Amino acid sequence: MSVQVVSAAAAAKVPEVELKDLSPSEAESQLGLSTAAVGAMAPPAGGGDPEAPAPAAERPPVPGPGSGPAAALSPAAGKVPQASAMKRSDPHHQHQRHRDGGEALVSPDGTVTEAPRTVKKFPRSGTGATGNRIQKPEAQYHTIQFADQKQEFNKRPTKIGRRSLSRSISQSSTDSYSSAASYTDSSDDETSPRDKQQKNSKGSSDFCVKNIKQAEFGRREIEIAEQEMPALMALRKRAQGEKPLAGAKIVGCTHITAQTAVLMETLGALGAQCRWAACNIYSTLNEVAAALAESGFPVFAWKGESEDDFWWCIDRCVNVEGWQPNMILDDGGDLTHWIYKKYPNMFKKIKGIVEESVTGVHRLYQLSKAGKLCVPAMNVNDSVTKQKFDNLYCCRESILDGLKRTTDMMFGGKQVVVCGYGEVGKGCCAALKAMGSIVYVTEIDPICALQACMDGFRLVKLNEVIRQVDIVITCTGNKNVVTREHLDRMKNSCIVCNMGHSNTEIDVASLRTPELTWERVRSQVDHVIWPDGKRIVLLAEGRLLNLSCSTVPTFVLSITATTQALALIELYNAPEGRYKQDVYLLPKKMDEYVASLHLPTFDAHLTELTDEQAKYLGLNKNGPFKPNYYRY
Amino acid sequence: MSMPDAMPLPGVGEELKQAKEIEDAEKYSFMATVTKAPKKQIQFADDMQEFTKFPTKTGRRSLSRSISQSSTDSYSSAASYTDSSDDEVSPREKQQTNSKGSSNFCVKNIKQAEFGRREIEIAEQDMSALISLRKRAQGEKPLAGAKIVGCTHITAQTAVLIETLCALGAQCRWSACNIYSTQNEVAAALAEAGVAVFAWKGESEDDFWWCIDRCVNMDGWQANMILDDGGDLTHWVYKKYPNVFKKIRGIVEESVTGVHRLYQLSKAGKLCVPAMNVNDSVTKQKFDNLYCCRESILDGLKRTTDVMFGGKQVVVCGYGEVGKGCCAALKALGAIVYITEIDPICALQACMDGFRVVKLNEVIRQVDVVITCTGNKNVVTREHLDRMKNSCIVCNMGHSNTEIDVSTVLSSFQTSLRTPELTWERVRSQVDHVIWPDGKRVVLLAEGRLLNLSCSTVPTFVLSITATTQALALIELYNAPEGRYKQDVYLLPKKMDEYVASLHLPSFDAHLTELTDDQAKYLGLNKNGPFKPNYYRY
Repeated sequence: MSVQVVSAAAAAKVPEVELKDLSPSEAESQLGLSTAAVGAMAPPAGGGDPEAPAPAAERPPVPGPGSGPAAALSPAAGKVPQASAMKRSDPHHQHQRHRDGGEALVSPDGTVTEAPRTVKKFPRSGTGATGNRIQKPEAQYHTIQFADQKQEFNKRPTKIGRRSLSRSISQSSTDSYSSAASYTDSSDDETSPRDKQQKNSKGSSDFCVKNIKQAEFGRREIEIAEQEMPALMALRKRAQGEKPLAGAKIVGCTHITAQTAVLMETLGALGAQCRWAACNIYSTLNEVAAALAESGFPVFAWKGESEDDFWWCIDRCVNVEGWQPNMILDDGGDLTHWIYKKYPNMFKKIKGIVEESVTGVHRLYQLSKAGKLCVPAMNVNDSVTKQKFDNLYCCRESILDGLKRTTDMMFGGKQVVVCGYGEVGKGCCAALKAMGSIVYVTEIDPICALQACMDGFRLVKLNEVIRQVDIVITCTGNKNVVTREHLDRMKNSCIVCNMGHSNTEIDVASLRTPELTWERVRSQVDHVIWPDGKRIVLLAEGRLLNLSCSTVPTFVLSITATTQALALIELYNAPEGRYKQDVYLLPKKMDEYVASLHLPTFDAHLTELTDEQAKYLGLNKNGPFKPNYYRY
Repeated sequence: MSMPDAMPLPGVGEELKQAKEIEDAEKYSFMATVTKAPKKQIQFADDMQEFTKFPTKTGRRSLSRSISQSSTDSYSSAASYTDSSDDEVSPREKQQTNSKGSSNFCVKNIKQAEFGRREIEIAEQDMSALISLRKRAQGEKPLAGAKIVGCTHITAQTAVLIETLCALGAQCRWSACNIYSTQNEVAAALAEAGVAVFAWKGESEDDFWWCIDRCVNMDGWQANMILDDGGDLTHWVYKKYPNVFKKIRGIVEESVTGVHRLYQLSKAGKLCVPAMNVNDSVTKQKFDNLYCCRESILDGLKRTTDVMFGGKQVVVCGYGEVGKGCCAALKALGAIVYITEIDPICALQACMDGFRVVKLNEVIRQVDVVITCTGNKNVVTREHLDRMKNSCIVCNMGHSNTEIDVSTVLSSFQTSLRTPELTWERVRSQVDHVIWPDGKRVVLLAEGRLLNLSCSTVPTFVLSITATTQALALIELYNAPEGRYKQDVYLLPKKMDEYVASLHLPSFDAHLTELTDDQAKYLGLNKNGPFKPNYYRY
């Protein structure tokens, strides 16, 4: 989401540029890089926040060597790190950050605090007068290099990994290919929304957005999103009579995009009162926020908030006379953190927390471990449907999309090596094989390797095929999988791209040497030219291809949003005692329900068990249908 | 083999086999009656299924059956042809000695040893993992001093396992876990090679326990490891020789049933040694279901019907591991595949994989092939069968014969297909034409029993995965330092799962990449694994 912010900003600034996609993507790529770096470094930067460093440090080393780790991690991790990284620092650190911002590119000394600066810097420049700077290659390269160095020292790959989804989310809503929203997002109005007096058509002024007049346009965005989020719409219809959230007072802190708006309005339709803030200072779609404000939701968010604005918005959501929340919907854990810190008494009334991101979930587990968690919390990050969609299905489509958009290449008969056979790798291989490519796989985990063998892929070591392949795709979650040595041996016009980790997998830094010439041939496409004339096509400078060069379907976000809505309903309606003060996984039955809500999209007709059959199997007719350890 | 998600029930080949199966079932439930009339038994078994509350109990059999099938199936192995049973003298009465003069075994006919050796050599070709284990451990003998008493199917594949254990330094005494699955010539070859084997095809219930007893109860030799398949051996030792457990270092159990029993023992606090559950390893489960069925569905259909798949409309009931395998194979051959599913998550997977999810009655009129793999019962009912088009093929890859409502031959209920107005014509082994009064015929395969067990082979490679896992589990338990394993049931450590997989990679000439130190550090992993967290879904 944070990404989205950037790209949107960039788009806004550079409308005149001939290639529409160029500026946004470029900006995005930059952002991606910097965000990644930030994610890694964030905790230290936000030193004021006592919890920030700890979660980062302790996050389990999930990433497997295969794509599995990268993919799995990234989706799960996807959202939080980014968001949290950006937001995490406390207000007091704001000044420091600002200062840093100016120098971000200069000091590649590897200290953690630097990373955030770069992040901030780009967005800021995007929104401010210096927006065009983003386009400058020099700056970009510096940043990249810098980020690479940071990666080298970063010990916690997962931290960065999670970013992929958040990135992808933002992509889906503001990407120049997929949505017009970004173009309308003029940021030339320099007055802070906090200083403006705005009223919606009903006379209410209980909100704070950039420009309430954009409401109509935002409404159109929301309507587009509704088309691809059938599950939430179905939920609205089914619950029209009963209002399962009647009386619920939900305070939320998520990315504010058209998709979230659909979620929010669904919650409203189910009877809840909502107050909402953004979980990322750049990800807000201003026109969507306006549309929400217009329809009566107290929304406090705009694109390009300052650190101070960020916490002010959260506080405005929570701290209201005569209104006290009884549910929390969080993405990254900042809202939860704020309430713990400032209004601990509020938890007496709170029935539960729903947390979506890896970071936030991690923080909750730590709270729980320390015995400080005083309400039930629901981890919606680890549901089967969400994880499969974030990885396997999503990457299966985006690999082709990303390669086509950037290179216009034909896949039939091409030799491709995919590094890593986790969920992401499986998706990539399936798609490429279907297009008639000859696919090789490299793997470190013998189990995944055996799967690759059984699926009909040749398992090789990278250096065995590097001379002959036309495309190299990394999705291991690891670092330096493709080294300079490999790059040296590739054949002319070999395409190199990364579907896994942030920019660590391909050793791009090693290509920044004087004897190699870099030529930017398109947005996200660089030719790196060897002295003998050989060129390599490097995509997105080694950053995540699917975030930089392709879209994330709303359908994927729909899965997440539906899961969140169901988790809220479950927590709110659970009888006393069902949930203790602990972190819970969503019951499998609700996972199944989320899936079932998405089936009508495919016109899929689910078979029902007869009573007799259910008895025979020892199952309830309505599920859950599988034991918990089932692997799907 | 094919029942991934639901509880597998016995998949049976021919009628005779089914009878055996039932005896088996009875044996396992410690009901000593062995009825002679197979047909009655079938019905009986079906009835039992109805009332049994632990379908898994019988379920474990599916694998064992497939194992036996793979070695004795008439298509796949010549062994069964040599298996003349006209010798009516019980092996227990015979005096036999092998060429070294030992008579510490009991097999049908020691003279078949040479033939059995050839069978074993064939199996060795496709069990390279065990062979490489032999080579790797030649120096160190990780099982030196181990005295393993085993009770498994005795087939060429198990023989490779047993001989591997011996090569690793263990002493073995072996009996069969199924009264019909033993390959006599293989048992002879093992006896000839000096392994104390007590097993023959067609044991009686009494013989069965006698053989187990002969394995366990021996002067001057006390077992310190148990390798079991089904839990009978463990049960016998518990019942008759509880003192033996003082010396036992661990139990390795392969079957669902046996594992279930162990968990019950453990719950009751009666388990007094560590036990290893090798049934739930990733590699084994994937091979038993997804990969195996992906191949056997085509094999089974081709052998029985010679059908061509391109453009055929197929409905697959159930999209678990078996269903996924079937669909992938059929789609690859150009068939148009429909899915029925009850679980919305699996249904969504089917959608995303590009299959239409339908209810059976929506497509039943138009499809050419109906395949069931739900683990459920009465998925295809008489009503469906009535509406099928002419020459529709109906078969089952899932549960024992419950999925398709083919009532048994002597059914007193006279339901479904066994009704007077329908004519049955056996056109081939395992292939029946059921003819409606109007002339419509439905092609029913294996009478609704498991297609992949009756009509196709189970590759040795699949069995190799299991056998390797067993061998490693034995090594792990035997060599574990005091205290690593308590008196509980353990899953195989993921690292060993990974090792099993890695041992099978050379068959594919697959070259595994190794992490550099730097990369391993970056990922926070050990260079040698385990590479994934436990909850990873693969």
